[in-house]
Amino acid sequence: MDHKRIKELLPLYIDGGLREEEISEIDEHLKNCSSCQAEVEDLKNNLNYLKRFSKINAPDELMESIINNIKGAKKDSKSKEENDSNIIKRIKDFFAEKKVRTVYPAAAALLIFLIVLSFGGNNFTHYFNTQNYTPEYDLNGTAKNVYKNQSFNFESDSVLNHRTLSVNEEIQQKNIDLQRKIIQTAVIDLEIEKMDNIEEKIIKIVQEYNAYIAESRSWIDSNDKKNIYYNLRIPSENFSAAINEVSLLAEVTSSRISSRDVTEEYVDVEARLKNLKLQEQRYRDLLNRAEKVEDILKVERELERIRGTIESLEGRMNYLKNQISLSTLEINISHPTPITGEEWGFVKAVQNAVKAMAESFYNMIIKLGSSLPYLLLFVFLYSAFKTIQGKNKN
Amino acid sequence: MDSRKDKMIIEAVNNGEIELFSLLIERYQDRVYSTTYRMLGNREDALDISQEVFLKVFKKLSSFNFESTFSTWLFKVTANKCRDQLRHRKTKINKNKVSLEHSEENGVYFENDDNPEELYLEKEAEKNIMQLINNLKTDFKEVIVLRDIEDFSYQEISEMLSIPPGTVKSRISRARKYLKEDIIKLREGDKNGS
Repeated sequence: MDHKRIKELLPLYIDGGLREEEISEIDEHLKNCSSCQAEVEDLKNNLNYLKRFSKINAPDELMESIINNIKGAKKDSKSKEENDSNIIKRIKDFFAEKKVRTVYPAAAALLIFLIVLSFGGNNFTHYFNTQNYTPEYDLNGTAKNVYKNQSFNFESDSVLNHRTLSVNEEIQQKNIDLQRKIIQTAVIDLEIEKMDNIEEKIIKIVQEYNAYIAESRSWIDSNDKKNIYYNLRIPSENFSAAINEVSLLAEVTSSRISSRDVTEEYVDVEARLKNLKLQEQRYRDLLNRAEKVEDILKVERELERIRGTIESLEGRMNYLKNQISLSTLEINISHPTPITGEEWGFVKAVQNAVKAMAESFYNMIIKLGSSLPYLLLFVFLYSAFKTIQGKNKN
Repeated sequence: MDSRKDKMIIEAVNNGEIELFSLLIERYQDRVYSTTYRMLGNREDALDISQEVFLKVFKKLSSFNFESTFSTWLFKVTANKCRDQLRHRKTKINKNKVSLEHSEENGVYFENDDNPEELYLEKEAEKNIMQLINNLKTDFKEVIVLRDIEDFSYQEISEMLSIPPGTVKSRISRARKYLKEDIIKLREGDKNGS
């Protein structure tokens, strides 16, 4: 290596950023080169100088505000989920009635059909092609349960064999582990060039698997690219099928699936609830028999305490049930990240030019509008002047 | 091992013992805060972004799969948040707002705080260094802050910023060369002053 090349490497030489052979070569060179020696000395001193500035302690309020935030967020999501579970229960009760059962699939199918039609009439045929999915089936709403009908459909469809497997596997798993309580979560990152109808496809999947959207966001990032985020809650028995379906939508850049076994906690909460309810009953009996006011007050205070605990445990129970029966699927959809930098580029320049043009046109309209009264006055005066001039000539 | 301890804490947090998350905050808050402070140049942003980092990490903790160590992941999030913030700032054109406030309000502590004159000089030096770093482009600022000030290894930085180790090295090399004369000047000034 020559002097110049060595000089290039010196900034990395000082803190072990080079390979063995490069280091030994530089060592050799340094013996005879005083300018390089001085340079190394400078760089080392600079590094030591910078290192002195690493000591900063975080202010105490950081920890506090983080913890407060977490607590706040937890409370929010908890109460929200409790509400959700109530709604779900009511919906389930509603559909448990027989007369609704036949109406429901037909209504759902009609709804899906309408949504698809209203959102993207043009992409309609294209959409069904990519999904391996026929609208006739969708409208065939005589089946009692949409989910069962689907798994039957999978078996008859050779293209979707792999899906049949995963669904069956899951059912088997459920039979073996009937008592296990598991919370499942998955995060999928998708990359797609054209986002035109991706939202409809997601909605379609949501309908298809009886899921619902807990949260959805879409925004334009600093590269002017659209990003979409979904948080779906899916009945756990449909979970893996839905993941498969989502994975087919676009290129999957990353996916994580995790599950948490909460059997222990579930059983624990259940047992405590049972005990407390028995205890409550005993206190109520006592209350009936108590005669002195003092006793009555005491018993009532105890009852209140127990009632409070029961309610918080029931809340926890509902939360767990909701988490277990509905798995969470988070989907991040983004454009493939561009290789070129965000700062400049021909296309960007053209875009900016068009923007600027529109803006200046807009400003022109405003300016014209604001001076309109004067223009009118001017025109009026001018024509008056002309007519007077004409009369004078005559 | 530190990372094993982290893993134990994370598993406990994921199993419902949320209070234990404070252990993770305690362990990393100084480094996260000082990284964000060096990157962003002012105290409010550093505080905000540090908070966002921990909240995001907390939210995603259940899906963290230990592919990398927790600390790498944490600082990856930190670096991304800082980058977003800088970009955001650029679009808002309040670039000049990067204020270099007085360090006594910035929670910066020095070892020799008994000598007022030296303390003053330290503060001046601190201010000058921050100015230098703040003038770098984000790509270079990142690597200099992470390597030269916060002392992360080349490998760690490569993982945090999701760029190949070679790129990290070339950026550091260029940045060091670029800063060389300025830092020497600052050092000389320090010496003359004291």
